[in-house]
Amino acid sequence: MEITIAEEEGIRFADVFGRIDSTTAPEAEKILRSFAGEQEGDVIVNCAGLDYISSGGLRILLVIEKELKGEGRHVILCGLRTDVEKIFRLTGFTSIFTIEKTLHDAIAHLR
Amino acid sequence: MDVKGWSRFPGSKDLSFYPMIRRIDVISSNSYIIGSEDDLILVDPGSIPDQADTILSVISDLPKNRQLTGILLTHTHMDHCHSLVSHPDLSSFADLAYSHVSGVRALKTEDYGVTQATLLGKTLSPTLLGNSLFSANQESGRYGLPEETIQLSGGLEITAYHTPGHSPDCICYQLHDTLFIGDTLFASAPGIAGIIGYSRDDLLRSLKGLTSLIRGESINICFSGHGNPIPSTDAIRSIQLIAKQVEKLDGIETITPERMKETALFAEDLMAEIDETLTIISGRIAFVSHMLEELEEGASAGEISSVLDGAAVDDLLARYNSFAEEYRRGAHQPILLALNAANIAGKIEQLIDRGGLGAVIEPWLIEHLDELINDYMTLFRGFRPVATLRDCHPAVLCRNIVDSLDPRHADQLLESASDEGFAAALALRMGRVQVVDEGTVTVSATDENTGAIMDPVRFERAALTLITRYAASGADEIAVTIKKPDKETVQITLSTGDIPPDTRYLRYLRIAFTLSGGTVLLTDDGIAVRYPAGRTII
Repeated sequence: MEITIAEEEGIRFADVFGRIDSTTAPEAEKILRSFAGEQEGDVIVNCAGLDYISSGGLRILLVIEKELKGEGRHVILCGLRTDVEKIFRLTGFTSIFTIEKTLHDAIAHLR
Repeated sequence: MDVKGWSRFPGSKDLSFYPMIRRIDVISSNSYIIGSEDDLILVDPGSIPDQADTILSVISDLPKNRQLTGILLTHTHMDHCHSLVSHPDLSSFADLAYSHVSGVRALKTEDYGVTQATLLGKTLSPTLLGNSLFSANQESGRYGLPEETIQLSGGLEITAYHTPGHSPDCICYQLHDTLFIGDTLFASAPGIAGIIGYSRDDLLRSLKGLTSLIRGESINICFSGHGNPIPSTDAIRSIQLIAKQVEKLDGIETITPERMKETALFAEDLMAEIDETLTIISGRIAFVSHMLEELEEGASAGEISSVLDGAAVDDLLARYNSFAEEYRRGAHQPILLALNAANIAGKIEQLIDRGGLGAVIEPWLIEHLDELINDYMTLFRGFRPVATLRDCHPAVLCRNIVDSLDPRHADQLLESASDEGFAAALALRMGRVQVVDEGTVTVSATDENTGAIMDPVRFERAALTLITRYAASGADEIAVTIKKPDKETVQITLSTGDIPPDTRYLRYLRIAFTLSGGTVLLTDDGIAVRYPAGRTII
């Protein structure tokens, strides 16, 4: 698992690659929380490179969303691959998160 | 490896003992070195080069340039003796080794089956052991077991008992009131019972004889081929339990390398499905708990999130996935993946609190998870999962399946809930996540009254899995069609539209529908299952 902070059209976002499971979830949580702390407003997480997410991975996204929500902010997920989006739909998480199809859609949503 | 150094041999002032006890696996056995004034013997050299190096180093560190005078093999499975075949230094002591005559033959003729070399991924080379036991004497002795005395060059006497069953060449060795019992206590274990050379009837006879022997010789302690020493009273209890298990293992399939490959493939497909199912279950628990918190039902949210130890489940799955990844890169033999999957599936099974999960998760998902674990463990134990076939009405069955997808069925739970039970009813309702939109699935039948011989429960779970997963992947038109291509056959086709099939997932679906009694055909846009036609149902 790797998370890099990138920028597109002047907007910073977290770019996630690989697998988020019990082994990598703590590191993912640390990086995403730190990134969210540096940002103002909503936080874009680009999942185009995310191959697999376990329930532990879902939980860390939920924890960060809850924290941001308290400040009137949200996580915007984008670029979910079919297999990952399937898990979001099957668990009901699509009704918790704002999910955009592409990074450009997420940036447009933010603006 | 647990190495505590030299100690006194149990029950003897004159013998010293150097046990090398490993954690239990199929990679290598324990090894034991026993020393008397003039003899030095090794029981089972194992299969790991480091272990053989330790043995040789322990011996070379002894004063007076002591040398081995005998190597006792409890049997010639490669995890017990591959070092004798392959280690550059230890193999030079093969002429000191004692084995049952059939084991001597197996190593001499490079028998990859009986020695489990193929199963364990080991290479053989012709190895000549110096001493064949029981080459003449096959008469049962005092305890119903053939026995033979080994006289070592330094005068030490050891009694060998032929105890076939786990392997034809199994021998237990007695020294004073101590018994080395090889793999006796593992003979009925899943993935072990049924290996080439296994004999249920021989094993039952050997277990009976061993019980008499332990009692008759007042054995104090048993040293096993794997794991820790066992006091004789516990050994007798274990042997009696194993005998009961072995009695039930009639009809077990032989574990050949081919069957182990098949089991490993089955493990990969079923574990991937177990992973996804548990992610859905655990994710839904997190979802419902979150929603209850939003509704300021904090106590109920806490109760819901405690019904499954999601972190423990996640950890087990991550461990399995990491091992499976290594397996796919060729780092492990199929038997190791099969054993790993069984280990993880068994631990997951213990973490599942069905009653607790029932408070939030749809029953069919819990049953689906149970079925996956049971099917794998059934195959792993050497049996085939079975279908319960009966005359069914596919059109009615398929319509009921589609109706059950509408979570509004659970709304009545809310309507009838008391004030106290409202949060629980709400959790149950929220756990039924709407995955399939109304109108996504259509059912059509060329003949509404057609009957088919099938396992309706297995079919229902397989169909629900297919429909929900494909709908969640974006399929917005799923067609279920029932037709009768000929008089003897009923075909149920599930077409998933434009969603490309995932190879791994199709392999799982093929297994699931086959186990419902059908013959599976993959079509361009889904799956077709053919069942024998049943009675026409009016």
